[in-house]
Amino acid sequence: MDNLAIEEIYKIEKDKLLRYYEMLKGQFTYAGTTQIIAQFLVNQSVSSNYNHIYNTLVYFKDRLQEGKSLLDLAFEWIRAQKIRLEYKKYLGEAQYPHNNLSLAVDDCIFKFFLEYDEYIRKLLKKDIKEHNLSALYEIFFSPYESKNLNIQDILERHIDNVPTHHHETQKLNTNIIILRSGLSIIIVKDYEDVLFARKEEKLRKEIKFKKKIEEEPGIESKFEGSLIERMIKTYCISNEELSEKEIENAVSQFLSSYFKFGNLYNFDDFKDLLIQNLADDIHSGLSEKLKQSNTLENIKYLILNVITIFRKTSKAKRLDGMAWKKDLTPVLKTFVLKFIDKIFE
Amino acid sequence: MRSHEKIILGLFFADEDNLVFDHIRYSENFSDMKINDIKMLSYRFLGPVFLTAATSMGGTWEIEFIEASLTLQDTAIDEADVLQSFFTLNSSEQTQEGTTNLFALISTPYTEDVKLISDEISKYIHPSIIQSKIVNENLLGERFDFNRLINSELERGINLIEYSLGGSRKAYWEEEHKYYCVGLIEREIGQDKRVSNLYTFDKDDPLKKLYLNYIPSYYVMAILPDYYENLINETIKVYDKKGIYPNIRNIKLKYQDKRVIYLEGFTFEKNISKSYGVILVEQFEESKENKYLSDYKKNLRLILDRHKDIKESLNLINPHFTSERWGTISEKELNRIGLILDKSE
Repeated sequence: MDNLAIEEIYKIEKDKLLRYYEMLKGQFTYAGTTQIIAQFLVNQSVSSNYNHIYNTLVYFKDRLQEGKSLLDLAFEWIRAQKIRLEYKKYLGEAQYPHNNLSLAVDDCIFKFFLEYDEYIRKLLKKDIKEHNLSALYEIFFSPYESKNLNIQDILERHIDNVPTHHHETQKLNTNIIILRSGLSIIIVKDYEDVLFARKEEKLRKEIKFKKKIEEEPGIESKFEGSLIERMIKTYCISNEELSEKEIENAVSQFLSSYFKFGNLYNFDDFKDLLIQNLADDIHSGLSEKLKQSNTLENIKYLILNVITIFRKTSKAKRLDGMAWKKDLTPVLKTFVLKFIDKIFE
Repeated sequence: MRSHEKIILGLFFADEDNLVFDHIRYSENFSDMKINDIKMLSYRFLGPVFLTAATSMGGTWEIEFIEASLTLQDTAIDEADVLQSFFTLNSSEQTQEGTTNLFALISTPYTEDVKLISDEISKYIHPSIIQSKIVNENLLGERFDFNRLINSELERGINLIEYSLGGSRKAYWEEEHKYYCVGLIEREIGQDKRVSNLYTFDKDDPLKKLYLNYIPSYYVMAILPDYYENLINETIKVYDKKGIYPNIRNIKLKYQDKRVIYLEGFTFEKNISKSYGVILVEQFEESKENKYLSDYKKNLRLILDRHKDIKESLNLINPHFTSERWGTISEKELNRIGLILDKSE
């Protein structure tokens, strides 16, 4: 792959960046070129630490190929962020068997960095010691939030790992080892982050699913008629007439507490529960005095009659929750209305 | 079935002294005898790679690529194994001590992106072996254990190749070359029939002598198709893949800037596989007999469909060929080729 290919794939807006750099240069007339480039890179979000950037630029200043400048290195630092972005996107989708970290390293180096290595070497002097390159890769491709990008610390770590090898006067090619030395830890950390994020996402989905299952009504859940209970309680105390709408709402709330849209219910599964819960709610709303004349068993018997009559006209065995609610609301509303009418008789 | 039981995958490394190391995937359920047979594959596939080196005149030729088409031929089988691709790739690298070869044997149920896998082998896996050896030898000195290193590298390599299998095949831009045909091989293989003949220039034709410099030898070219077709067939059998039979489609060889392609077409009728293959040399001088690969493919198909004696069709391939038949099966016949056709004086 030639220079053009890398520059085409990972395009940076060089003209725009150059204009911005010129503007900075105009602003910081008192500062030296390296300082301005360091500030330029801070502003381009390659790293938050000005000193680390500045020291890196100073270190590589004398190691650049003839004809190349620190600004070229700065542009490549910016391009590296673009490559990191693409590589992270790829890693986010990757499914390595058994989460094989060594495979993740090999696959990413082969797909993203092998040809880049050939490209970036053209920026640096040919006789440069190899550990400089692995250190540069660590600096270029570490995540933004990396705490320690001190060039001296990094060089110290790399110098013994990847000595430069020569055969007679010729430098031997150890580019893959250099790439692994500079990038393995970064790739492993990034992939572990991906795995962690996937695990979190899976856990979140499981919790959501569990919650949904818990929320879903089962035949053991209850009809909750708090509105019916309160309505009857108020009526018993105030004796104020109740509107049909009020009763319909209370019945509707009672049925909605159990029936859910999209779920199917068998009549036989909820019949007894409905009779029991409605009777309980009505009975609980009655004053102590009225409870004596309207026993729980009596109310249950009355509801059973209503439901039996309803069952004679509605033969459906299994219906959606909304359908049961629609069919039962007028029946129970009429029952509650009649019951309230006769409550003081 | 585990994913790697659906494929055939092996990576063989031959060091500078032709010592062979391998890493081969196979089912854990295979018998010891079968595993022994599988272990022998590395030597058998690499054999001609060494042979070309031994018999070539003035150069070490590399067998870069071998591809076979797989056809379903046994209708009596209840459930045939589905394999779509069968190919081998070889990467040769020159080190200070000599040539090393990394050979991959791949057969899968997909149409593979051969270029991607070839790049992985030649640009990453093979250089990684050589570079790791240099670096580790230097770092560890006497404690350096090559067996350990090569096993780990081959495992890394095979994981990387396996991860790339089954991906969508990309269309790559490639410069189209013209080729000159220096020989035609006729093969007929049936239950009790085995015929293989070479047609080429007259033994005294200066063209024969000229083109001898651009191929490993007529001898090597005459044995390769039959040798590899048989070997691939045995490989398929040893892996218990039922109902499929291979036919050599393509063999690519190179030496420095010289390129040779063997291209074959076949028909299967009345339990006999009949094939014609052309030995092609990449154009090095203008000649009206130079043609594109697509022209040769078309002509091979034409010859196969005509059902006429090949002698009537030789003109289509190269008008300089004579109708003299050079048998390529027995040792005697092959020695004759070696003695007469491969004589450069």
